[in-house]
Amino acid sequence: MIRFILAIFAATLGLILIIPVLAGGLVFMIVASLVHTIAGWLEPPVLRWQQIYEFDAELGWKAKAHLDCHLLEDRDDIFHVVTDEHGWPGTMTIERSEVVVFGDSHAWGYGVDHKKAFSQLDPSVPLKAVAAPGYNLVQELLLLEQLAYQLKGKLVVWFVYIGNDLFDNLSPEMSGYRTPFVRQVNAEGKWEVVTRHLSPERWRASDASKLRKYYPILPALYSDTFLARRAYAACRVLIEKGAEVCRGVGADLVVMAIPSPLALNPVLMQQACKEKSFSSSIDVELPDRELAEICREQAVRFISLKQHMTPQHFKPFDDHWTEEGHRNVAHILGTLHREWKHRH
Amino acid sequence: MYLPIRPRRTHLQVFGVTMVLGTGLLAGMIAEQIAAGWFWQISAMGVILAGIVSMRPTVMSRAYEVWRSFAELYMRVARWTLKAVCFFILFVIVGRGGSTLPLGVQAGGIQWGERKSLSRDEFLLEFEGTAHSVPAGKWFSAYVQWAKRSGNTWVLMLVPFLVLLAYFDEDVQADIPQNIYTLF
Repeated sequence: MIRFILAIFAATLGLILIIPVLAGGLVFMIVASLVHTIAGWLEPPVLRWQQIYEFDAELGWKAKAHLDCHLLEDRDDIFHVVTDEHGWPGTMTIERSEVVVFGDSHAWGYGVDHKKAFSQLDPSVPLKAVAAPGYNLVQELLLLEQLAYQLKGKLVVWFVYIGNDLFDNLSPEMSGYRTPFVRQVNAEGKWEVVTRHLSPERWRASDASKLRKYYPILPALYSDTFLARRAYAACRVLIEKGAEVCRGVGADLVVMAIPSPLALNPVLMQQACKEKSFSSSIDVELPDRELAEICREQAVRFISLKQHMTPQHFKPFDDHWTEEGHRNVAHILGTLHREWKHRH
Repeated sequence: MYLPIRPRRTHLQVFGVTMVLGTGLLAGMIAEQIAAGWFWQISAMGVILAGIVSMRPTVMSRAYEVWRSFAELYMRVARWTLKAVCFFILFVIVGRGGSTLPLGVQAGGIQWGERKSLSRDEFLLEFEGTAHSVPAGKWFSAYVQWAKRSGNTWVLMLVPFLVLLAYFDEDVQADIPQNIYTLF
């Protein structure tokens, strides 16, 4: 009892003593409360990326159709998303378009409001993006094949994101999601597309089903390694097949390589190599050189966005483009479209 | 209490407008003391500036970071003060009331006391705190019960300090690793 009485006295004394400290922080508390509360009122209801995808038996996944919502990217901000009846971004149809862009989240416009995505910026370019976040080149090739007859007489632009596509082409899963991939089936070097493992079930056959980090992998793709040789060999097969599909329907294919922001900043690249004790010499031009060579062999035009982009075109905390980056890509595509029109 | 580590556009907007309006209001009131009629002029200027800030919230990025670091510093000081009050005032004063633990010198001038081994079932009770975890929402009633049962009702006086410590707790906003492609 005596201790309880003493505690009441001590607690009262202590609370009186900390009143000045609490008063000193009042302004911080008020500002923080206002920011949280008012921002909560102002922001629209948001979805997380997991809520906008659905299983697709041929491609692994795709975005849901007829979306008109806001997505929250934890590392960045909220952005507006609009999809058509197939889950592709925007409302433009392939039939009405002259340029069809195949790609991953960059082509999908992930991270910026729908109206500010490259596919919506230039009304003089009838452009349709056919893409979904997380796609690799194998999924994009399958899409090309699916939509081949709608591509007749059009300009087809195929985005290759160096930051993850090269590796993802070889992997049966991406952070737990089953994805089409390519593998070598015999010693002759023949490659095949594998899709029979696709299902809505989470991939559990390997430890790789954790969130994948690409930056530790990238140095290996920028130098002469076993992984790099396999990755570029797979790219060769995929681009050959894509070129064949386009030739078959009379479409003009252009391969556009999107650099990883890492490659635009040599200091970051060196840092990544050091962190992983990667001793091989890094050649930041290697992916573009390899892809350019593959495209040259297939008589496919190759454009390296590395020559046109700066780190400012990428978001600071993820690999997606900023609004400025999208404007830049829209400008490049506009020029490409005019040249293409001029030739036809 | 903490502002988000990575503010969204709306966070910057609200922060910017709050700061500009607040500063404008304060400056207006001070100016009014110096010369009559200045309050409205300065407040109007604040409103115009707030409009600009809400259109271009990124101009407040640096100010936001500075404000956030000051808030963090304040929280650290507040935590330290609270702990100091608990350790150097509350515990010291309560300690004067004695302890239920047999800390005194035993008969014969030694502190050696015979201990019997616990029975098998009692071993579980020894770790009661961890063996029966309390649901997060019911910690207070469990705390009160424990205080009564153990004869330490004085610990109830720690509750305001615990609540404040929780409020001023370290910033545990999940820092999402950068440079990863995280969609899947």
